[in-house]
Amino acid sequence: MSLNEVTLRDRVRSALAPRLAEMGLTQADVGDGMSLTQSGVLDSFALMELIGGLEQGLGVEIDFEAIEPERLTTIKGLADAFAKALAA
Amino acid sequence: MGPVPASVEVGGLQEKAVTVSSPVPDHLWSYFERSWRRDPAAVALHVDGRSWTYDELAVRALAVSRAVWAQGGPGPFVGLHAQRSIGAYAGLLGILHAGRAYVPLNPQLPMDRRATIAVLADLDLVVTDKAHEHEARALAARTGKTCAVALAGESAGPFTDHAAGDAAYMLFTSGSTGVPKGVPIRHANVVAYVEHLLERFAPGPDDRFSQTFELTFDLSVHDLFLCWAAGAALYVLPQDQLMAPARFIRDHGITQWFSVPSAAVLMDRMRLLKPGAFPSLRVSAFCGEPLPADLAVKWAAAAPNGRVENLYGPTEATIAITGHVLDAAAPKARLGILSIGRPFPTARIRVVAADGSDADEGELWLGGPQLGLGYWKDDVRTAVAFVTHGTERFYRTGDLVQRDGDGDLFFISRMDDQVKVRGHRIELQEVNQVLKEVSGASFAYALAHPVRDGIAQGIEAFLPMTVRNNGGSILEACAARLPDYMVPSRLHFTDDIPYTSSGKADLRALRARLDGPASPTDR
Repeated sequence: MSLNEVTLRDRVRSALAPRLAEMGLTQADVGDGMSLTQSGVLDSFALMELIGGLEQGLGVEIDFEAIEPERLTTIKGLADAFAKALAA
Repeated sequence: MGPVPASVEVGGLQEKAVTVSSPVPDHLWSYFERSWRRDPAAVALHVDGRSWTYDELAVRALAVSRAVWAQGGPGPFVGLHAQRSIGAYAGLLGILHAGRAYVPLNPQLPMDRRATIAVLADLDLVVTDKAHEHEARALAARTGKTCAVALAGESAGPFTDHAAGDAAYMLFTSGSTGVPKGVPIRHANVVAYVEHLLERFAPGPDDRFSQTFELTFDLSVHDLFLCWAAGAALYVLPQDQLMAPARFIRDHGITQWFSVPSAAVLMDRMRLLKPGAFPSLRVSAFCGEPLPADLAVKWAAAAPNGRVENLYGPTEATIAITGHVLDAAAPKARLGILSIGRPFPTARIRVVAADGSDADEGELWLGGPQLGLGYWKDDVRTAVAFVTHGTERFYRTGDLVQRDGDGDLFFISRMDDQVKVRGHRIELQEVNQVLKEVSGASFAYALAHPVRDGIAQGIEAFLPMTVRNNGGSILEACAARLPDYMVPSRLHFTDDIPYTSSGKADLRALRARLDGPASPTDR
């Protein structure tokens, strides 16, 4: 795992933090591979908000054509997608 | 085969003999059977990564029908506890073939909610798919009475004549008293809808229909029976691709698309609505919530070989009852929201002003052959919503509409506390009731927020400061009782609730607070 990926996971985690606080969850409750949508942490609109915020913050755009959308529902998947976008 | 004398005692609901050879079927099974006999080897269903021919689906449905006869009690309704599997579709068809009506029990709903519905509908049999068998047995045990479980999709059965029941399905919608209300719909209601859509969308055996809607949503009945009446193939979207179905449309060459506008909103945000992106689409239909005109125009550009239709209708009047074809060059819209068009040819409508007179702005009343009988075991609410005017029965939608000089209708707003989130009907009173029960709070005021482009994105709620430290557990308790789209995405704690002159909470003022700068009591 590159340093970049670790940093990106932290970026995703900090973007998620307000939502977790709202639900009374801690960072430890949410694993990197857990589906954020199926677990009810985010619905698809909230997930798109999160991705939009990260796109703005990182100054890149995800290529949704090239990625299976279900892979964007975990912290790991999001970090991977942004790593790919930053490398492109 | 000739006329089928179906003399089956189906408790409570009226029945009649079915003539399979008649040009207009009076039973939904007949639509399926007609296509099955015409081309048994054609693909009827694509689900879970494999295709099933009309023959393969039929024999599995017949096995379910036999199990329903063997295991079912006298009640008209059979539960369908299955989702996006061969068992779900074979189960639905089998229940209908057996002359019963299905009550969908989405396995994703909280167990509490499923058990409530099973009890309200007097279910004595639940048909399940393999994946949800264990949960179905737990559900049957929860009903507190004899409730059998039958497995669908695993075995085949021999052909027998189908039995006629009057009702085809019963769906439960959010109820303002905190208890969901059942809406039974008859075969004749659906046939009136399907016959019009067969003309309107002109589907044929080469069509490939999308199936996005959950079976608990009556728009799924359009997908299934318009498709099978045409001898076409039904393509069921896997759960994890519902969020961004662009690739699914392309990979499977979908020709008939039907979804809530929210699906298009998400695809647009993912920049997937590029011009020419979906050349295979012949018809793209949207229903369930307001359709923003600019979104419809974008979709039309992405699907240049087809047309875009905006359909409108409540569950009580069967699937949809008005429709509008988008003119992408000059979209007909009011405040950016596309017209819901004109009533279908067999439908009767009234636009009724506050004083009860016919007008061009007022409550929309619906009548005609698509009109349901009322609410299951609830004469009081039935009498309020289903009224007689002259000699005709009408359903009062509670939707405030405007009608222009061409006769085109425009949805303005609800007249009560009902809202829609991603197409789902929600009575805010029901959310308030559950919030109060689980928190012990003295008040709870839920509202739809945020609303973007006329589409509500979720529910937020105001609760008193006394429960401010329990936010997490309140939401958890809500999630155990309510469908996910009814669970608030955010709670706000305050003791300062503005009231209107009539003593009701001023939701408009509360909404203004949410749209203003974030309050320090939010969590």
